[in-house]
Amino acid sequence: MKGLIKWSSISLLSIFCLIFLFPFYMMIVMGTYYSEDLFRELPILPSNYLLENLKTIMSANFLLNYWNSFYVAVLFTVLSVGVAGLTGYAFAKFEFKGRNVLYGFILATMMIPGQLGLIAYVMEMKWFHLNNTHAPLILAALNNAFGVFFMAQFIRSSVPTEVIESGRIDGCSEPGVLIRIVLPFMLPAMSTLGLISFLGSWNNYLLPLVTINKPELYTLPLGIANLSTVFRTDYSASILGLTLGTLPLIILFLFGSKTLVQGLTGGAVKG
Amino acid sequence: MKRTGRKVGTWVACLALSLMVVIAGCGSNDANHGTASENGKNQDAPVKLTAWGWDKAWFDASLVEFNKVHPNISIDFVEVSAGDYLKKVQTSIASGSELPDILWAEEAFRGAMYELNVLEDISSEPYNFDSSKLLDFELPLLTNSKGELVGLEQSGSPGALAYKRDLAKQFFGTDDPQELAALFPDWNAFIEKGKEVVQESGGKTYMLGSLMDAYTILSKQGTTAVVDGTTVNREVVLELFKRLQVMRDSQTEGKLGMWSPTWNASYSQDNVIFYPAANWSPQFVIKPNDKSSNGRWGLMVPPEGGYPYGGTTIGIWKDSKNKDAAWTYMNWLLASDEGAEANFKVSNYILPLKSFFEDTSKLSSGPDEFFGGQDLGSFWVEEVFPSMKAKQVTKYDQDIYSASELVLETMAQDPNFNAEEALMRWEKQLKKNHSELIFK
Amino acid sequence: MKASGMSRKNKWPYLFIAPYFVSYAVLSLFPIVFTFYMSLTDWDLYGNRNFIGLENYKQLFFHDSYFWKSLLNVFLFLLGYLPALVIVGMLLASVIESKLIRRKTFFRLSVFSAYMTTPVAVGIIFALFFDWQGGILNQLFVEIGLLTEKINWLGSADSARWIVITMVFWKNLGYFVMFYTAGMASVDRSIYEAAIIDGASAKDVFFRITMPLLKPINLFLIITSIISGLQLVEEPMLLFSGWASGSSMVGGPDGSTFTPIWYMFDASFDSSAFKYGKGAAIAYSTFLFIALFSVISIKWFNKEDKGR
Repeated sequence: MKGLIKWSSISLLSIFCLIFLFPFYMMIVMGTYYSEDLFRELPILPSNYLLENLKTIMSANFLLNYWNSFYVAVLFTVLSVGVAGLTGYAFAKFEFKGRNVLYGFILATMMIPGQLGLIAYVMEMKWFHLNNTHAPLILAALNNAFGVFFMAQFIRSSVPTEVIESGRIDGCSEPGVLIRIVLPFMLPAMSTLGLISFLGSWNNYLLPLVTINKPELYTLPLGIANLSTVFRTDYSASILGLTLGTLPLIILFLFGSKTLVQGLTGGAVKG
Repeated sequence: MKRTGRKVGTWVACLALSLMVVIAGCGSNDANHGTASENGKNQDAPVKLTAWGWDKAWFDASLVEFNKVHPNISIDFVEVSAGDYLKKVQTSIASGSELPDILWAEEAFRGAMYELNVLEDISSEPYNFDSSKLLDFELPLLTNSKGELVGLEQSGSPGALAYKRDLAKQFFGTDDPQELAALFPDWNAFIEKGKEVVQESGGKTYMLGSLMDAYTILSKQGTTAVVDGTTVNREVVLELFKRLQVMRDSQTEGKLGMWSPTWNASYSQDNVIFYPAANWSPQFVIKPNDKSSNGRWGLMVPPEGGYPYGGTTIGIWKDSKNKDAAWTYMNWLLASDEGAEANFKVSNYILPLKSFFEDTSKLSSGPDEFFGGQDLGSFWVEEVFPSMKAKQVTKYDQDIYSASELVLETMAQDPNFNAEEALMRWEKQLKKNHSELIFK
Repeated sequence: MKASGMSRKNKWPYLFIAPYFVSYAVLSLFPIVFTFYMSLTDWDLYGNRNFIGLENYKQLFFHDSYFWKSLLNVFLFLLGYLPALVIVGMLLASVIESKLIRRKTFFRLSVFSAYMTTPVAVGIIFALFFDWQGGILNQLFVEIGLLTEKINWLGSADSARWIVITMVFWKNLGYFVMFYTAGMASVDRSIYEAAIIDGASAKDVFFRITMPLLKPINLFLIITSIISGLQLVEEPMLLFSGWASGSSMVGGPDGSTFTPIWYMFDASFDSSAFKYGKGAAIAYSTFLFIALFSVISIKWFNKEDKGR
């Protein structure tokens, strides 16, 4: 009986996951097609155009754009997770004057649709002489209200206050408490937020489009957009390029998932 | 405790360092940029211009030709895809950032671009470009509402009708472009024949893929603009929608949705005979969509004549520090006979200059196997260009097009949705963001 | 001694939040204020830039059916996918994280893969499926006799809305699962083991232990979903702005998938109206509704807490 439940739930889950995986699989397969052939039949089995598509994207400065996107995304993620973690921790575990007002302020700013703020942001970047650099893309990580909210919620529920107190009694400084005691508890949340931030930076399109006027500073999505001419969009090559763009994420996921989501927490609780 | 303190210290230092690397890296980049635009007062001294555009292959090749004559002018080309171009330009304007010395404008958004007050009028001082050098139909495509000439064509973009020869032979008894053009002197004849085609094929074959295909041609034929100032000419639009309604009712179109996957796939199938086509279509639309065929395609003058389809204009930024050099580039490449020849040589682009059209024999491109031996160069120059007319471009063009797409989708789907209703919905859609429009 | 302890304790939270708020003051405050100022002007790029007070807001609230319709749409969408995301997401996460499943990474990755699929590919896939004349869905249904006539899925208001809901659900389920996973991972395994030893059924464990423990995560997910739900724009634009699926239909059939932020883009960036003042007013009006509904749901959450 138990085995039956187990197997039926596993197979149900597997079917469900396969359905979800299918479009992602199709995306990978689409990169092997001649663009116009995508529309001729359902792209399910790989076709023979992978090398041509690779050539196309390589001709468009792919590696340089890839590197730009990559290092911007890494810095973006580090900044975003770092600042959000610090801020969220302070809001979740400290009582201080103005706490509720400031927290409310962060929540409120998250609710304002920010897309038009782009214009003013570009103006600022002009004043700081930062346009035409990667700085505007990376600095945007500093004010991740969403990340602060998540971190605060998570720490509130998952980091026991007693552990913090005992750390203080042991004579740890506040940064010491944070690094030695709280951080291990925060890792699952940080890795989740990190993944989301990385993806957000990687897919960012509008901001680099309007702040960068130098081909050598282009990020991957901008480079890919230029594969298309006015008259013909090379969907396959674009998709191939963008699919290769998700590679670091998948690696991050495969290697990060197990260690970060479970391993360290368990260790921390015991230690 | 000390140890953890140091850990935090390192951590903070790391962050600070990475930030500094970024900002420092940027500083030097910026410095480079600053010096670039400083030089260039002097005619013979080397000048560096910037241009934003998308057609890199053409740009690079034509620049090589230009530099043979003017080696002192170099141009930094920044690739910006046509779909994003206006977005980038407008945020730059709004935030007060710099634009490049040379700006491009594609057909879809050139009307809006012309009104943004960022382009030089090249018909006035100091350029004094003589607009009578251009083919007559071109002027409305290059001027803004103040009557300023703000750009020159990268290439004339004649629009015609592409057809599948085997299907033409099957249904009309001929695949000769001249004979076919004679069969369809106007759209009524086209629609009438379409009824027969649907019947004979048992509802499997249609004249056109979609209402938008028809709209693409019909809306561009003639010379009466839809909007004049802020007044919308309802009559012209209603007339157009009525014609399209007739096409829907008599099944002239196959409801495929222009540019949809199914529409693209239909190029290699037998369900559609005709497609709107410009001089860029063979390379970018027809051949890619039907790459395994040979000799299956033909090009003909559409009922009621040629029309402008696509095309990019190039202009000079008003606040550029290097207007002279930018004009030297434009004037040579887009307004001189040498430039026209260079243009034709590198990309088969045809400049709409009267002088260039005096001897059309040099514009032949030879028989094209894919098109059953048709000489496409001569076809465009001798048959389509002379029959072309054009409407004044306006800043509303892009929005008119998308409002039409919206109502025509409904028209294709709902057999009871008539031209009057279409017009009403179209008006409402346009008024959404353009409350200043008056409909008469 | 005590005093220094206090001051040490007081100084640190401010130091911890300093990076955020200092950078906020330098970078993000101005855009928000400036956008608000924009909403009080008739700024367009054709030369107008006059202060007109609340005129834009008056127009939107009292004379603009597009604005109200777009708001209605995002609420309908939210009702369609949010409960499903919360329920299915929680169930899926607890199954994946339970002892039953070995290769957790694979399952997590496959659910999350939707979130990583690039928009261009998604656009084409949806077009291939739902296209009217040649779409796979119609071909299949006609073939097996489920339909006699092809349905224009993307052409009628109701089905278009359902497709958007499906799309958002499909894309965001993995995202929800990720957050739930993070929430569950931090829970001490021994609680579960103790409960199972005590003879609790899987159902009991889920309702008595998992759900309450996930409450803070749920608050986070629901609030952020309301925020991002009312700011929804990518999915409907992907389906209907034509760059992946052919012709563009701003707002979808009958405006059934128009959203406030799409309207904002339409008014200021995408069309050739360049009405920045109007766009900014749409942004701030939407903000009012987001704030209202977020506060209501936070209150609701807190009440539940007290009732418990």
